[in-house]
Amino acid sequence: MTTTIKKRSLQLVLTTLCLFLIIPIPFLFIDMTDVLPVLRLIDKGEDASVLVWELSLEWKQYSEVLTNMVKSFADLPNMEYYQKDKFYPLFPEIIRPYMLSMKIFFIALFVSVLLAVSIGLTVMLLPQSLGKVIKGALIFTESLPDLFVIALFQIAAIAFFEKTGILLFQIIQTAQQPAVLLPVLCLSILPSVFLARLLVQAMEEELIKLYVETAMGKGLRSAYIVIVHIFRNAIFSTTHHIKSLFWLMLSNLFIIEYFLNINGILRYLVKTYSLFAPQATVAGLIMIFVPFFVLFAVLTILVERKKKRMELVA
Amino acid sequence: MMNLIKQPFFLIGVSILALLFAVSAVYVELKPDPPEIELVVYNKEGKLMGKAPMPPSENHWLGTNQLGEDMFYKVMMGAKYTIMIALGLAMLRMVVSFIGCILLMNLPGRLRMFLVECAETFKFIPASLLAYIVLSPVIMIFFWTYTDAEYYALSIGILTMIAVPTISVALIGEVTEIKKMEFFISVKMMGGNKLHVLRKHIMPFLMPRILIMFGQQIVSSLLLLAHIGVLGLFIGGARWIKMDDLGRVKKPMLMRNEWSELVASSADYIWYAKWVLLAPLGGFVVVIFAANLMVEGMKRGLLLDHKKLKSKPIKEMNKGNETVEEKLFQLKKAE
Repeated sequence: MTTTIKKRSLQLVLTTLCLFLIIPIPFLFIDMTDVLPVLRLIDKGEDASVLVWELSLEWKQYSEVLTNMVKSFADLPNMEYYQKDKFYPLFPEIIRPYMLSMKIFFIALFVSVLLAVSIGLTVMLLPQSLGKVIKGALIFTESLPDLFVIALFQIAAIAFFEKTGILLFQIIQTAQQPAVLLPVLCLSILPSVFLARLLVQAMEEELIKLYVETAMGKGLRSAYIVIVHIFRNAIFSTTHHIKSLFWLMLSNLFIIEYFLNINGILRYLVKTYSLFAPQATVAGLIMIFVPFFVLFAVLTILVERKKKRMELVA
Repeated sequence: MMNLIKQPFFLIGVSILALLFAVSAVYVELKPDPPEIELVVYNKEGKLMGKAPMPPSENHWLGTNQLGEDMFYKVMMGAKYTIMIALGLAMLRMVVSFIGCILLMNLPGRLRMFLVECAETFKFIPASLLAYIVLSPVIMIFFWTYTDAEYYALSIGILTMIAVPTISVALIGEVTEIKKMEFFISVKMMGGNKLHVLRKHIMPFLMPRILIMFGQQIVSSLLLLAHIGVLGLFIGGARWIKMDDLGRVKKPMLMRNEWSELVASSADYIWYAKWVLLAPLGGFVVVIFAANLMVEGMKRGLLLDHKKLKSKPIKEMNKGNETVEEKLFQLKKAE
C-alpha cells in the first residue's frame, strides 16, 4: 500500500519534470537571440523579418529558459502570459476556462460510462444475432474520425432546428450562458463507444470462466448472471484502459473546443502559448493532468486491493 | 504472410487506399487544367443562379468554395499528399521507435524504468496540442525563411518525434511479453548472443505486432493531420491572400491541397457552406476507415496463428475460442 503510494508520487514528480523539459523544446534547436526581438517588433505592428534562421543545438539557451521557468514557478501567483506585445497575469483568468472544461469533461465522462454500461449490457442480454449487429456498429463508429462525428453532430443539431424550429439545446457559446449540453454530447459519443467495446470484450472473456458454469448449474437466470456476476468482474479489467480513455477524451475535447467555439482550457493554452512565456503553458498542463493523475492512482489502488481480495478467496 | 492476403478486411482496406492514391496521382494527368473558377453561376437562359460558394451539383460534385474553386478537384488533388504523408509518418515513427526500443532494452534496468516512466508524460498531453506547441514557433512564424525541403523535413520530423516515446514503450511491452513465453527459457539456456536472439527468436513474434502498430500509426497520423489542420498549421504550404482592402481578413490560397490544409482553410465554412468543410473531412473518413479495415484484417490474419504458440496450453486456448459463442447460446437457452 505505502509502496504504491510512494511509486505514484514519484511518477507524479517525474511527469511534472518531463512537462518542464518538453514544452521549451523549440529553444533547444533554434537560436532565439535574433528571433525574439523581431517577434516583439511584429507584435508591435512594425514591419520586421528574420532573414537567416538556421537550426542548431542550443543547450545553453535551453537551460537558461528552464531556469527562468522554474524561477517563475517559485512566484506562482504572479505568473504572467504573453499576448500581442503585453504580459497579462495568468492566475485569476485561467480558472474560468479551466472550470468550464473540467465541468464538460467530467459530465461527459459520467455520461459515457453510463452509456457504455447500458450498451454493453444490452449487447450481452440481446439475442446473439442482434448483439452482433450492435458490435459491428460499435466497430464502425469507432473508426470514424472525431472531427467528422463532431461536425456531423453540430450540423444535425442545426438542421433539426431549421426543420422544426425547436432548439434542442444552446448551440452557440456566449459569455453569460456557456453551452454545455452539445459539447457534452459530442464529447461522450466516441469514448462511450470505445468503453462499450472494451466492456463487451471483457464480459465475453468472463463468459468462459468456471464460476459462470457454476451459476448456471445453480439455475440462476442468465440476466442475473450477466448483470450481477459477469459485469462486476468485467468492469475491473476495463479500468486498465482508463489512460487511453482519458487521452482519447482529451484530444476530442481539444477539437470540440475549437469547433463549438468554447473558451475551454485547451483552447486557452493554445491562445496563451508564446515563446516569451512558456511557463504559462506548463502551468496549465499541470493543472489539467494532476487531478486525473490522482484519480488514476486511486482507481488502480482500489483495483489492486480488490484483486488481492479475490486472490485470497480463490 | 499468406494469411494476411486471405483476409477480406485487409484486402478491402488496402485496395481502397491504393485506388484513391492511384486515382489522385492519375487525375492530374488526365485533367491538367483545374476546372474553371466560377464565382457567379448563370443557367441556360442567362439567369443568375447564385454565387460561390455553390452547393454540390452535377458540374461540381462536392460544390465550390468561396473562391469558386471546385472542391472535388481539390480533394482529389490532395489525396495523394495526405496518404503519402500519413504512410511516411507511420513508417518513420515505427523505424525510429524500433531503434529507440532496442536502445532502451540494452540500458541498465533502473535507467530504463526511469525513461519509461518519463515517456508516460506523453499520455497526459493531447498529441495535437503538443504538435502545436512544438511546431508553431518553428513553422508558423518565419516559415518564409526556409526552403520547401527544410519545411517538410522539419514538420515531418517533429510530428514523428512526438509519437516516438509512446510507441517505443509499447514495443518494449511487447518484447517483455515475448520474453515471458515458455520457449524463451530454452533460448536463454542456449546462450546465443543478443543480436542472434533478437533476429531469430524475438523478431518472428514482434514483426506482426510491428505491422499492426504501423497500421494503427497510419490512423493516428491521419487524425493528427486533421487536428493540426483545425489549428491552422499547414504542412503543404499556402499563400495568404487578402479578402478585403485593409488586409484584415485573409484566406489561404493552397499550394498543394493537402487535406489538413483544406480542413484548416474551411473550418469557418461550417455555418454557411458546410460542404466545403465536409469534402476534406469526408476524404479523411474514407481513408481512416480504410486504414482501420486494414488494421482489423492484420489483427485477424497475423495474430491468431501466433496465439496458438503462446505460453498457454493449446487445449485450453482452443476450448476458449470455441465456447465463447456456445456459452452465450447456452446462457440464452438456460433461461
